[in-house]
Formats: sequence, C-alpha cells, structure tokens
Amino acid sequence: MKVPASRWAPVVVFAAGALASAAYCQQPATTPQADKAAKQQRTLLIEAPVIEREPDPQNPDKEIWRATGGVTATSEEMSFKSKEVTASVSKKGGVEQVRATGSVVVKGGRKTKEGIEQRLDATSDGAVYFVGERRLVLSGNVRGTLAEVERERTWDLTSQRAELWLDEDRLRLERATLKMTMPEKTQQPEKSQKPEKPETK
Amino acid sequence: MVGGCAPRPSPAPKGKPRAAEQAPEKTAVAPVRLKQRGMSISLSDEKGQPVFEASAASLEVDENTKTGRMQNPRFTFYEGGKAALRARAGAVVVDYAKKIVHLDGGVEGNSEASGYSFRADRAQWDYDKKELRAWGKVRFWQKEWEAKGEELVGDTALKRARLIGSPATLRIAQRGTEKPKTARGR
Repeated sequence: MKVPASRWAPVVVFAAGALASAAYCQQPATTPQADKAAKQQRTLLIEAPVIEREPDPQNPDKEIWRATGGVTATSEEMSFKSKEVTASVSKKGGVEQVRATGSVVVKGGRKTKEGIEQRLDATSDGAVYFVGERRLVLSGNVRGTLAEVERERTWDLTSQRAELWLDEDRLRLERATLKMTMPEKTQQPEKSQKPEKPETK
Repeated sequence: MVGGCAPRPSPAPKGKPRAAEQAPEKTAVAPVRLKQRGMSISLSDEKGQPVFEASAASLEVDENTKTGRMQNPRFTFYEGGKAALRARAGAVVVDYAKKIVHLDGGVEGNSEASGYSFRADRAQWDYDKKELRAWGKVRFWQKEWEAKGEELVGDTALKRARLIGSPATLRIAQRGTEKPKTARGR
C-alpha cells in the first residue's frame, strides 16, 4: 500500500516534536546552574574565633584546618559544636574527616532503607565524622536521642562509644543502654530495646 | 636613581678574627641592601638572593626615616630565592632599616606555587620574622576552600596561616561524599 507523501508529514513532525520535547525535559538536570547548586550543597562550613591552616606533616598532599574556641562545623548531613574542630583535607579528594574534641554537641540525620528519617541529637567527649564512608563515631560519655519523627519513636541512648553509618540502618554501641519511647497507644511494656542488632565488641 | 644604597658589607678577612674585631661586625651593617632601579625597590639578603621587589609609577625615598613610598605598586616576596607571593596594594611603605614592608589601601596577593590568594584592607610583612600579617576585611582562598576573617597571620607563602575573626569562617568543598558500594547496595 502506498502512503501519499502528504500523510507522512504529520508523523515526522510529531516524532521530531517528541524528540525535541524529550531533549528539553532532560536539559534541566544538566544545566550549569543545577550542577553549581549541587556542588554548593556539598560544603563544610566552619565558624570559630581562630582557624588555622597547616600542611599535614605526614602527607604533603593533605592539609589540616584547626578551629579553636567556640566552634561550629556544619555540613549537609551533620553539625558539630565543640571547643576544637580539626578537618583533614586532601588536595585531591576534599574533606576526608572532621574531628571534634571537648564537649561535643552533634546533630545529624539519615534515612533508613525504608525511607524513614532518623534525627540524631547527642553529646559526647569527642566525635569523628569520616566523610567518604559517611560514618560518625562518638566517643566518651555519649548521651543522646535517635528520633524517628514519622513513627513518633525515640531511642534514648547512653554509651561509651557509638558508631553510626549514615547510608545504612546500622548503629554500633559499646557499653550502652538503650530505651525506646513510643506514643501511648502503641506503647509497649517498658523494657530496654534495641533499634537494630548492635554489634558487640 | 633616587636616594642612596646601603654599602655592601666588607668581605670578611681571611683567617680566624680575634674576639675584639668580631664585636663591631655584628652591629655594623644590616644584612639587607637596598637597590633602586628607576621606579622600583628591591631588597636582597646577605647571599644576594632577592627578598622583596616592588615597582610602581612613583617612588619616594626618605633617607632620614629610611623608608621608600610607592603608590599602586606591584610587588613580589621571595623565599629561598623563589617567588613566594605576588601582590599589589594601594600604597606601600618599605622601612628598609627595620626590614618591614607596610601595605595599605587594599591589598591583593596570590602564591602561584601553592595556589592561594588573599585580599585584605592592609598588611605588613616582616623580613626577620618571615611573617605576613593582614588586617581588615580579610579573604583567603584557594580553588577548594575560602576563609574569611578580620586578621590573617602566616608565613610568606601562606603555607601556614592563622585566621582570626568574630567568628572567622571557612568553607571547604566536600568531595568524596558519594555513597560507597556497600553489600546492601550491590
């Protein structure tokens, strides 16, 4: 069957339009503005009365930033308040770890694999955040709460060492006690519980 | 040529000098010489290596106060004979007796070797201490980070630096935050 050329024209126009539309839809994800915004989010901000920079004596490709006084360190997933914060920065890979010492107040957040948002509010003697691994280690007199806002569930924790993986539903506590608080209608008999099986040393 | 040059230190006599002859040598001449070529000032150390160079359209040397003044100069600080920091300022006063360079009227500098830049309202460089000090609205940055404060103290190349502020701030680009491949992610 022969199709007159005039009947092909709308099909071609439609196809070209769909391609153009698809290209247009994909465009915003790759605009320089979107890239810039994404890059701007990944920033560690440190505020302190004194901030010092020195080359890492162990590694010439690294530098150390040390902030002292009342220090606040904020990133997109974590914030510290303490007396001293040290950031180890690789010239190739950016911030590698952030270490806080002296009465640390930590606030952080993560999403579980079920998409439940957990908020951490804790105090400790020291804290280290390993940026690449997205792992937070709190050490010495760790006290705080891990709250699941949607489920109205709160874990009160006391520990000597707490390790939290931001990309996994994983929490590791040493010499710890955990107490879960839930809304009254679903409240279970009061007893110590664990949000996930903590690893034992 | 404006002003005069400090005399070269006389060559040390051969052989072991006596203690009585050694004493005056310590206070005789500063180990920094001043040279002026056209509208420029340069200082060099006792080995003849450059320490500081500045050039500008106008130069005024005062032999009484041992200072040289320049407007809108461009200058270079050296470390070990190599350029450590290139900068420009609204005005510079070189106190070649005290070996201190005062920079004013907005200062901008950068270190090509280390990639750092800084900007401040005014600054001071001390040859003996090998120390750069900047004040005012201070910004100190590299490609990956930016620090702001009210006072910056560092070595000539700013490899070591201390920023003071109320508060001083530091922003570091946080790379390497991609999710690591965990067992669950595979």
